[in-house]
Amino acid sequence: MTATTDVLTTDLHADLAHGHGDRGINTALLGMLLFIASEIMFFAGLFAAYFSVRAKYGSHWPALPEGVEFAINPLVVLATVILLSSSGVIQWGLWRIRKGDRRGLNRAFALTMLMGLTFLAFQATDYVLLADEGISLNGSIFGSLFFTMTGFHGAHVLGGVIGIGIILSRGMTGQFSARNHVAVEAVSAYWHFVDVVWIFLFLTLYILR
Amino acid sequence: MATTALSPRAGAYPRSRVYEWLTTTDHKKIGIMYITSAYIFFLIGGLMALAIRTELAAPGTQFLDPDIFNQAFTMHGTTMVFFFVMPMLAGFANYIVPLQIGAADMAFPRINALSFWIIPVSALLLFSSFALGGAAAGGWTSYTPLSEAKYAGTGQDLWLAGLLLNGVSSILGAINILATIFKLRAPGLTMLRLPIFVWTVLVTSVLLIFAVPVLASGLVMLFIDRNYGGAFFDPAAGGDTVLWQHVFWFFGHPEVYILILPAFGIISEVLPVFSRKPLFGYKAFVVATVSIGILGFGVWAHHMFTTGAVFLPFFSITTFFISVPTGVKMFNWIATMWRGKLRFTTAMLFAVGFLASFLIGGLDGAFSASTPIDFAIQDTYWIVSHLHYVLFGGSAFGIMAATYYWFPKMTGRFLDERLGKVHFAIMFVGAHLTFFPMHLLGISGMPRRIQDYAPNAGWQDLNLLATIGSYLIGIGILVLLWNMFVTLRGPRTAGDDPWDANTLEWATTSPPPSYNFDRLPEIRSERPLFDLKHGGAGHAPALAPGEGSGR
Amino acid sequence: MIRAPHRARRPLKVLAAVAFAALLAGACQADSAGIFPPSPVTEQGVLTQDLYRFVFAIATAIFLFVEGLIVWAVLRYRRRDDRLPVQTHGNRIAEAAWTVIPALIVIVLFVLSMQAQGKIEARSAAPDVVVDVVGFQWQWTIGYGCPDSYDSASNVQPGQDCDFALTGAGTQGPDLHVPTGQTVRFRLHAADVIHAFYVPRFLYKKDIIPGRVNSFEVVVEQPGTYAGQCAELCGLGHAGMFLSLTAEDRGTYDAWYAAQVEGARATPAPTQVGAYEIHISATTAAAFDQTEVSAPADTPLAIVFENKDLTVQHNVTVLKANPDGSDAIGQPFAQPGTTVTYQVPALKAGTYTYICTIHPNMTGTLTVQ
Repeated sequence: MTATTDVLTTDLHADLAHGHGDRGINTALLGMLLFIASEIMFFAGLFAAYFSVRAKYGSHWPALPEGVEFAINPLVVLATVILLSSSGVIQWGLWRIRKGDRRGLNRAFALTMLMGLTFLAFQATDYVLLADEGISLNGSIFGSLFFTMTGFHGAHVLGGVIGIGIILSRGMTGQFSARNHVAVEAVSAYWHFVDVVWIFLFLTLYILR
Repeated sequence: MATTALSPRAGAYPRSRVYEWLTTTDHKKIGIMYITSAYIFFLIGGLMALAIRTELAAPGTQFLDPDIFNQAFTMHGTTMVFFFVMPMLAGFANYIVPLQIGAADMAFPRINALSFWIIPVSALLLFSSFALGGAAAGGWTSYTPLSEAKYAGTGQDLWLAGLLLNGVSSILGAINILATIFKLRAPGLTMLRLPIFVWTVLVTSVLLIFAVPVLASGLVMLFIDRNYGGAFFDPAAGGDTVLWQHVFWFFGHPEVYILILPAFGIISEVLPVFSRKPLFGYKAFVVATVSIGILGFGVWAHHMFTTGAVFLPFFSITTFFISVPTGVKMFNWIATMWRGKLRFTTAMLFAVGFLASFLIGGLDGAFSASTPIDFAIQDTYWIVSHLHYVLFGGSAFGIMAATYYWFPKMTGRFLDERLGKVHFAIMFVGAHLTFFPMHLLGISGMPRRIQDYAPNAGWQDLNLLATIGSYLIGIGILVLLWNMFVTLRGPRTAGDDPWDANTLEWATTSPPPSYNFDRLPEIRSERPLFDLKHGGAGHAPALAPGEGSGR
Repeated sequence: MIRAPHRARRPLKVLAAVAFAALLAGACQADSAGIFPPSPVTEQGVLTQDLYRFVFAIATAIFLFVEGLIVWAVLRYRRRDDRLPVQTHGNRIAEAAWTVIPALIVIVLFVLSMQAQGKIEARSAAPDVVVDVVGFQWQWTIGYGCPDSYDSASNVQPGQDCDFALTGAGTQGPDLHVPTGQTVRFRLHAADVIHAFYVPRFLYKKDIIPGRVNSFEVVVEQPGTYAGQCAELCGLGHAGMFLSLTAEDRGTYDAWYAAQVEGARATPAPTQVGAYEIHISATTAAAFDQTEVSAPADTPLAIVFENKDLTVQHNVTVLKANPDGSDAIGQPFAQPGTTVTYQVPALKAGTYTYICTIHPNMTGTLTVQ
């Protein structure tokens, strides 16, 4: 005796497994967005720590040791411009592959990768310069916060660069098309997230202080 | 015995079983691995509890000096939260959710496997500390400065690293569940036809995504403090030690809802089946679940009322208010049983035992929400009583109910009902005997996390009672293990739908084939199988009265 | 076909209910740990007790009502046949009722709590007595007559700045005195990790947190001596971090205060003539620098203890060294970086253990022959 009498076609499973048959957002992209949500919360914890310590110190913030000054390095401004522009570049690449333009995709992602690496290089230089000035992870609470927050952001940029690299290598072997490029969507979303976090970091740490 | 005729028949070909299990991405096998390992950690955490209770049975040092004792309760809490309850509920969610939504597997099967295998690795990190100079000993909450490098050794670092890894597992699992629920539902399965278990797992997963990363940020900051000279939580270096508590509890409070909501879901599956009525107030239930999830992020500082560093009125009112949706659920559950036809299988006994016990744990919350009362009971055995009522009387009882309810589906065999009732009786009495006296101990002044107490404090008798209760719990667990052992050696006797149940997991074989379903019934309500059998939501009954599809 | 339910289950529930009732009844005894808090000795504690009783009454009523419903349902609605019961899906009025009524109840509880909280946490403009409490691993130093700067200084040395400081003898901790019927403000300072000042008869505790100074006020109404202990896990010696609080009328309190001031100013007694000197030092709280020392029998001993530890107090207590078999407790504690000489009476031959009473893991053996 069977427990069911109504029958549905089984094509359903194949469609559902690939996230196609259904309406709405692609499954893999949804997964990436949820992952980004969790990463936002990780940075939220760090930002919360920053603002709560800053509130405690009031006008004495940043509470740096005697004689130590924290100033914005022009290098960092340039790095910011580069990173934010790279969001535009990657988005352009995404638009291109949506139209089936593989060349455009590859060029855009190669350029984005370069811009990402440049950002990291400038960031590293800034770190060295700050350390020379006496601002370090273990020197002050400001230093602890600054290096932890920007350090984890840098790690995320590096992760994004690796992801872009993977897209680039897959793209150069022609694996993407107008209909089939969900990985490109996902990595682009991730890159935008990394940029938005940087906007908040830059405003908080460098401008607002 | 009714079984669905499978077509095509699942082929059997020679393959190493160990390799099969090590490399599987089948949500059912992964679910079973989660559940099995969770039970192993339940035993480990339980042994620690017995050690603690044995030490506290009488004044004076029995056999645990303060150093080991502090490690014991720290690791007991850590093990039970991160290696028993969370993976256990993840295991049931893993197994049941795709089935209940009519899917073939989770959205990301390989990430699912990864999520599981991270757990033993994180356990290795954490438990290796016992052999490497001692485990963390600052409580599962690891307050600073006690957990800073100056006061805590390598065990604390291993604790931090282990939990960071464990957290990755939870986050990946949550992403997987959410993608699965949103994208892989069978046609006709709208959100408001989801089984309540799926709803609670959904909200739990959202909580995991929002809360666990915040814990991760705290663990990272403490790690930097301890190993790289950071100054986050060290007041001497300019940091703020209460900041740790804020970051921890911002995670820690949603965490307790993560620990209980799936158990709520389990009860909400078991009660309707064994009352032969639908869950009373389905929509109210969904609203209550979502409310608890949202409100749960607004109460965290009620763990910090005595710090003098939080805005008391806000957190007091939110804590009071979160009892309202929880109360709604209690009443809905009782209304489900009301005028039903109750069958007292072991699963049902644990569900009713859950109601009886969680009520006490929940009412405890009303006391501690009141700040003046909290000033008296915070950090005493009163809180230990409250947390164990909700986590043991709540989560653990829910887990027991789930075990008895879904064991036939997962293994094709029934756990012996007589042994089950013995297990329930011993565990119910044991739980209350252990944890109720702790209310009295706490209100009379016994602080928590102490290895010993003065002989003239008047606490000895109640402590002894609690210890006896804890041994009863241990015996109850042994009965369960024996039951599992004996049952698994026996023949498969369970059909597709042995309990005459309502939801889709019972519309396939026990255990299901690797692809879950050959056919799905039409879905018009949250009880598609019930509708099919008894004619609801536009169905004519497919089966004549008396023609059960059960055993 | 489902198996018939086992009959043992119903008597079990009844048994559990009876056991509960017995436990509750037994718990209502006044002296041993009961379901109600011990009777409070402060004005503020009375407010807490009243609130507790009110919440308890409501909680008990809800408990009996809801458990009653559960038990009733379990007994009344057991399956007796195979017919389906009415498939009720819900009831809007019921939902509204059990949402609104509990919400109203908790609002009442909240308002009452806030009223009590306001009074309990109030600070008067000029308290009659200010007591400074320093919590450190794993004892207390209590300072009286300390400077105003202690309002905000978390790292303090009462032994140096205040009229006098108590650290307590042996393992029982200090016995701090306060006058009854007057406002006493406690200021809480943490020397190392988080501790908590808890006196169960106050029905109150407050955390002691490094980096901030917490405070609270009480008016003790009932004279007597009350036990207290640390209520925030602070490490190995957390369970032994005791104190006692003696409340007495103002006159007696003043006499006690004067005696303490005099004791603080008094010069230490000279070393016994012919005493044999033993030199012990400590650099950390992990162990004494010397774990084995010896001395001749039947000779008074002078333990010259140098506390090289720059952050923590220590002492040397020789267990069972007094003629009556009690421990020769090293008093006063040696402050960080100071040397104190402890007199120990002549000992018979044998082996004796010495410890630091704050850090019981610091031990050594004194061989007397």
